[in-house]
Amino acid sequence: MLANRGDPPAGFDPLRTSSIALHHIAGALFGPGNLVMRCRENMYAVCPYLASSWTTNPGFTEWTFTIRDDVHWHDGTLFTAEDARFWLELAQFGATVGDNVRAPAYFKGELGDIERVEVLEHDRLRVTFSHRNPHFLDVLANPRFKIAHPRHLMQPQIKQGDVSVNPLDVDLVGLGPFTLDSYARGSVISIRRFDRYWEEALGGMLPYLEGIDYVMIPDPFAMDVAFRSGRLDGGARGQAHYLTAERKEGYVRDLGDDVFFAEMEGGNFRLAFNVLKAGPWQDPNVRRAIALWIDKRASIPSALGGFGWTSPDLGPPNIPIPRHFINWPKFDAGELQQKRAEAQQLLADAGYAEGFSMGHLCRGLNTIPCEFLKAQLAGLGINLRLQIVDEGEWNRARVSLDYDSQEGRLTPSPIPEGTESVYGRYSSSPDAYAKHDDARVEDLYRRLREALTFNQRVELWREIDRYLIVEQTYVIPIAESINVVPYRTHVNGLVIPTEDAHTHTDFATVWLDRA
Amino acid sequence: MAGQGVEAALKLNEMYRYIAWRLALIVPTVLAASTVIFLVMRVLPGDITLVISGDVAVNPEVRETLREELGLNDSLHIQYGRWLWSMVNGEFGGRSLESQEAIGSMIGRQLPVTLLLTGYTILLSIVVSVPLGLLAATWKDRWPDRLVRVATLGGLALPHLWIALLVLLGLLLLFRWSPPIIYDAPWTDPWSHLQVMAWPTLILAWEYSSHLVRVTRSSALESFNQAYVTTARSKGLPGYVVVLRHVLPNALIPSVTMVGLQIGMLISGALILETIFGLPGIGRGLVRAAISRDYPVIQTLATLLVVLSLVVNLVVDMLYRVIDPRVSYSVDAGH
Repeated sequence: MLANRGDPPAGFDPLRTSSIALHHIAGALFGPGNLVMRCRENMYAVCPYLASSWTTNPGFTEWTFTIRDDVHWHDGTLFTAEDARFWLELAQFGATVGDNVRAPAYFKGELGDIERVEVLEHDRLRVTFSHRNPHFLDVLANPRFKIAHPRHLMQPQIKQGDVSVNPLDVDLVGLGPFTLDSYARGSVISIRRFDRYWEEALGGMLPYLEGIDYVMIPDPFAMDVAFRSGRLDGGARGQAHYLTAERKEGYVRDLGDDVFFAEMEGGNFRLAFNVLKAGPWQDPNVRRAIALWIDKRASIPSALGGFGWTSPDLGPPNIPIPRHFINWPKFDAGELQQKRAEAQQLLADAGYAEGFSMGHLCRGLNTIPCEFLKAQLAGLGINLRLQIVDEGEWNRARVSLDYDSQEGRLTPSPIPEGTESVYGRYSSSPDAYAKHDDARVEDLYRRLREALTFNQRVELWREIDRYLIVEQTYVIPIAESINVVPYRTHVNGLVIPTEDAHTHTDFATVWLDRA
Repeated sequence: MAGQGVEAALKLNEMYRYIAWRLALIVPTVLAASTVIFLVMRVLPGDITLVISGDVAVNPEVRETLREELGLNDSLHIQYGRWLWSMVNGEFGGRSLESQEAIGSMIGRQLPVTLLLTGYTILLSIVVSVPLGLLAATWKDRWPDRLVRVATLGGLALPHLWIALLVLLGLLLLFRWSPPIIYDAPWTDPWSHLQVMAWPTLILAWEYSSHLVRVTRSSALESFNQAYVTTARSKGLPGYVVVLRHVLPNALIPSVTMVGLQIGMLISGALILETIFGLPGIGRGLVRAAISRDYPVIQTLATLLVVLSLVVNLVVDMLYRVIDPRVSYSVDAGH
């Protein structure tokens, strides 16, 4: 029995939402990947999933997949290349029937400019791009991109005008290792082993468990109590449900060896500037001064609940071979005293020796990092005015130009090229953490997308890092947080994703070993 | 006898007219309330399309198409008209923008949970508070009265949230036990239902009954000073008869009024406790919808609460007559 932080939104539709409230469950129902997946033994590599193999043409404009012939939907229908085409077209183009319009997938922009999707034979699919797309597999292996759209059930409804049909409307018929047993909204989702699931492991056919019950527990305190009283085998994933150091201590004190903790990358804690709004922060030297002043190490106990490490760079969370893409030793690795003296000098040279006042858009869900920043910048004479907002206002304001600075906690696509959505120009990336209109950033990303060799990509990525963090300091990476989820010791075989809580949520390899 | 019958019939007729009048008033009241709710929600900043997408960057073009798909780009009067029409054509608010669930079905599963929680609370509060109020009044300024006053002061002063957390923590530390985490209806698993509902009911009832105890006590004390009580006592009636026959009926009217007035407080308490105790009720649904800016759900649920509140107050007004037959109803002058 696992906790889930709430009912999955958007009718369980992974084309609509990246919410962890869905994806904690979606892996088991819809599978850990699509045609490809992040490998179980190494999530930085891409492995086959529903496609057994693939090829590409020399120009990287055509990708051809061979689909496995032993994959079945939960209702027994065979999965074919037509199903894969239906899903990809729905993701890329949406649907239009008369006046009814279905929006494409929220990740449409990441897939690249798909021109067409063709079925060559019943088990072969070709995806054609209008521009070169050498990193399509890396993008496609994003664990959020799941096939949850049975063509044989959804297409007739769409043709009748119900373009917004979602997986829940077709009883969550999926391709994953578990099938839906029952769903009491607001209370519990019960899934049971799918006997025709095709994946094998050393221990036999997957999945090992007979079933999982996901209990909706929106309150993290209630989750803690239920776990510690023995009603849960594992905690929920999601902000606020992840443990803080203090809560973890309570678990250890009360449960001792009966509990272990899955630790995974938890996103980043940054300070990003809106340089399109007038203020002292429009001066790169002022932004640089702030970057040098902040005591990044202090943020881990003070702002991140005791779990995290100081940011080496802008790096996306789960790039294929991380060490090559990280500037190490990190930027600004010198002594804090020296850096702070330099910061004061830079601020004085910029004409702000007495400091200034700056607004900071702060997400009400977690105000502690904002308080940390406020306290830090006070030492530099900067009055950080916190604008604490709820989720609704946060979602509006973060894509607007109404604020001076923000933290920016969106998850970018897990390859360097994908980070343009959060570091790019405002005109093309309104979701970007920092708001700037710097054509050079756009040019650097264009060159990165067009780079073919690994070394070229690494060089360009480092150039982007230096430009965004040091030369312009549009964004100040402060620290990476770690998400901690508790599990009972009798839960075995968990594939714990190091870098992304959305990965490996299928629980297919899990078994229980109760004494 | 015939004259009395005619008088009773006239009174009954007057009451029916009064009820009809009050029911008719519900329509414009609800319409006005729903308009205000609609406008307030649209004034609040926020964008559900971004809530739906989650913590990821979304292609602006996709976001715009999604807004189109959800009907959020239509003008305000069209959106309001569409919602209003759905309230009367049987769709009951349409569908949730966030979950895509039909709001009628959402209410169908959430309302019973909230009604049970509030029903248990009201029942328990009445059962407890009337005797305690009378006891406190009878033993004024002596230890039973002081004890009751301290208990009610706690009920009024301590926030639900805090008490709920303490209760959960206390159960865990003392008994290594917590309430079941899956809600069961009383007709599917009564024992599990009892274990889940007992704690939020007790917490809500503490505050709710504290109001009732204090009002009952005050009213009873006032009645004790009335001439008819002195007369009853001087006739040699036993103390309990005086209290039950002469003090209680007069003390009940303000208490019943308080039951109606405090319904809003009760519902707001349920909003918090449903989240903490994992009850899939309307309160939790409303909180979730408000955070997500799920407009049709908020409008429908809030309107439903307005209707509930109006109906409860009407029922309370009707109860006056049951408690005190001297009460008469008039369309012109209220009751």
